[in-house]
Amino acid sequence: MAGHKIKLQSNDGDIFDVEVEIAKLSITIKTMLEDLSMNEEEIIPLPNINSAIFKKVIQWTTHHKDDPPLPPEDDENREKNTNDISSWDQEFLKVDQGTLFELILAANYLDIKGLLDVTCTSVANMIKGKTSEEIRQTFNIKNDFTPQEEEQIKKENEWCENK
Amino acid sequence: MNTSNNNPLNILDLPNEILLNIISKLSFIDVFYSLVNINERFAQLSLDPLYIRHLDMTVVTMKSFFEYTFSVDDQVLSRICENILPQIHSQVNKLTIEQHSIERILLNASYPKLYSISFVNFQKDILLQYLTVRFNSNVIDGIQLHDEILIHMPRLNKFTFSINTKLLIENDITDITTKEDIQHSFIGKEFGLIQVGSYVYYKRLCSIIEYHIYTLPYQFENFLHLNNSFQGGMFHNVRCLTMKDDTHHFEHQLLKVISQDFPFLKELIIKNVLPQQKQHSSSLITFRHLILLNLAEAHVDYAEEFLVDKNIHLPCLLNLRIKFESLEMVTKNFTNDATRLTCAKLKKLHIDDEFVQSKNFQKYFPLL
Repeated sequence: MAGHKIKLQSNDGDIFDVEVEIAKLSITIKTMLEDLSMNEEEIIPLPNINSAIFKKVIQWTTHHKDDPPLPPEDDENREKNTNDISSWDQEFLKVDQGTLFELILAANYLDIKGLLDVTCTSVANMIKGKTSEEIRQTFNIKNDFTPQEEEQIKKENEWCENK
Repeated sequence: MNTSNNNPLNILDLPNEILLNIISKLSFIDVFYSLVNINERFAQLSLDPLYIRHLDMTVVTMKSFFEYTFSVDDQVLSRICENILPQIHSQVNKLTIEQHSIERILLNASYPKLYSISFVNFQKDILLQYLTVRFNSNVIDGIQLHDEILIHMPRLNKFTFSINTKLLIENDITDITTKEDIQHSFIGKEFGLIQVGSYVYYKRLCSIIEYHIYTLPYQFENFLHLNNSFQGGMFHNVRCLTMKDDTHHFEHQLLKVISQDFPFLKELIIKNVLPQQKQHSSSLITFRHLILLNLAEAHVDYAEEFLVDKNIHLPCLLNLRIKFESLEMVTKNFTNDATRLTCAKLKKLHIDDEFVQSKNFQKYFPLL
């Protein structure tokens, strides 16, 4: 089967020829191929992904196609290995925030655990060690606490503001 | 989904499921130091019961390559204790704490759903200090265990123990706690249907009395200081047994009982310097799984008992610790055929004395 290709279509109409083995890193696509016994010639639509993001996804899966499977997630290894991003992935993830979040959604939709993990880790690293205000600035988040709640938080933090 | 580059996605466009995935990659401290105060949604997600089931109060901070700490900053700790703990304590299943925060975390809240505590990076003596229970009485029995431990743990479901106590009798031996006293002390307390095994061993000559009490079935891998007062029972979990008796030798019959009652023993340590009384009814004993035998503190008779294959069969033995003198004697200077079968299989021999390996020695232990 090696080298066999399938056709995948992004939501802006582009059609991609992707090796089956690489496409199957996506559990969503794998399930479609196996459970729905889709014809190889059929074009599989990916209504949630645009071509720019899908190109990135193919780039990532191609590079990681021979990775050993990830260990199953449980309470014990769910712990925070936040800095564990390989240098290739770090380079790959040097994108603007919008693209990073789109990649996360794509990885989630396509069910590619490795890509979801590394993209979420990348966001976690952007949060680590920052104060709430710094995080709001980094991610352009509005503070929607009521003035009373805000007052309460300020009071709680007063003594550690000068850290 | 918005995929237009003119209107890029914001972190808040991600579904909760994904934000929780991101939060799970942060330390508890990061979440409760900053994330919880960002906005309403993050505040709610940070307090998600799924996430806070495990309250991990350790954070690794590298000061340099060799110097790092697990401690949480004091102010962050205060804030968590005062503002966060009251909101989440009742949902916590697991706690991970370090030396610096233990008292504040444990004293500031109750944890009704807690089933596991991990202690990280404690100095040994400090940890022992926290885990040590001081008993008022000399003998630990059912009354003591109830009054000092169980009474403080009303939700405890299961209590398994194995406790060895050693007492020096000063003069009066009339009020010694007997085996019956110990068994009786477990009746009527909140031990439920717990079955307790015990033995009391009085060494008249050295005025010492030893107690061993344990829950049945015995759950531990180690059994310490079994002696001639052993009365049998099934000990399927025990892998390492120390037999020690200063006043009576171990008879062949006792070893037979041990081989049957401790069927999965991997390691056996014999401490007894008294000669065995030779008996003629030597039925064959087999320790089917025994890998390691320590006779370094045993009389030469035990070397003969264990190494002569017709007395005791040790099909898996790989590792022997013994005095050179005993080994030399029992193997008749490494020529005795009766001990050859067991010795030839050994892969490791620990002899504390210095000795010269003769040709016979090397032939006798070909796998060393």
